[in-house]
Amino acid sequence: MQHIDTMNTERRVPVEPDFWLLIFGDLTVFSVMFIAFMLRRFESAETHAVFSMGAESLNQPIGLTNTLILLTSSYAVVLALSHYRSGDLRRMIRSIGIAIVCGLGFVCLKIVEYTEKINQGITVTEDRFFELYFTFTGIHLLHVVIGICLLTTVAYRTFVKKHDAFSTPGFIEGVACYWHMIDLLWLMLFSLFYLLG
Amino acid sequence: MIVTNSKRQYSIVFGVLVLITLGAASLTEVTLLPVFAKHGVLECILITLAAVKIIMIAEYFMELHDAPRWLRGTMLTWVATTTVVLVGIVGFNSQIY
Repeated sequence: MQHIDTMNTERRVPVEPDFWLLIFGDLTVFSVMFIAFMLRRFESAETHAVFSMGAESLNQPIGLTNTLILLTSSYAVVLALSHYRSGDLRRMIRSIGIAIVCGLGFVCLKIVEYTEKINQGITVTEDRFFELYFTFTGIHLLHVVIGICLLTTVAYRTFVKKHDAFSTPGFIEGVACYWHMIDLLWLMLFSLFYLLG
Repeated sequence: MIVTNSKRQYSIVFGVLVLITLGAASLTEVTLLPVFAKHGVLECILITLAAVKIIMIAEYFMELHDAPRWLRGTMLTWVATTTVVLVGIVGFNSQIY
């Protein structure tokens, strides 16, 4: 408990400092993508209209549901980390399980959305909006899949009580941080693609 | 006790995040503000709301409120820079289109 108190009161770097290089590298790449999206949107009156129509044709309820799903998963991950620190590994695994289910739900809804678009004959080559939509959300989806794999690894290693590099506090905090990064990137993607139309 | 307080804090943050998300989504359905929408105000509000949510996740879920200044500052700089550039592009171009 003294250890937990120390962790909560002192200014400390959450996760290994090197890990933040990965996080900020990813965030920088995505911010360039966000800016590229916005610049393309206002390239001409024609692209502005194409982007508005593209956004309106997206399935907004699915986008909103996916946002709420990712927020819930982030909440579950933060609770899992809290349980881990208090030594309640059973609850930690349960919370990670909820986050994994949410992540899988996100992936399923994204596949439904992509399938819906492809069935309508809309692909990555449709127009500039969908070129960016499929590229950016596809890259984000890849991050989600990687995140699910990492969460599964953490849950499994904790369940079998295997002590290795994948069950250290640093790695578990890193996976949690990575998952939150996925969440916050989606929040901006959701606003740009689904709401700005 | 610290752990319990933290859990309560996480729940409050989660609730606020959900409320902002639903609020932002419902803002796009509001037809009472077409003038704002035409001038890009609504777009700026939506981008800013997304930035607020990102800061909340970074501060509370990624635990940057306890982190050293350099780390917290780097994250806040990233959020602020991205938001200002996006809002700036909208603000500048909404005068044209």
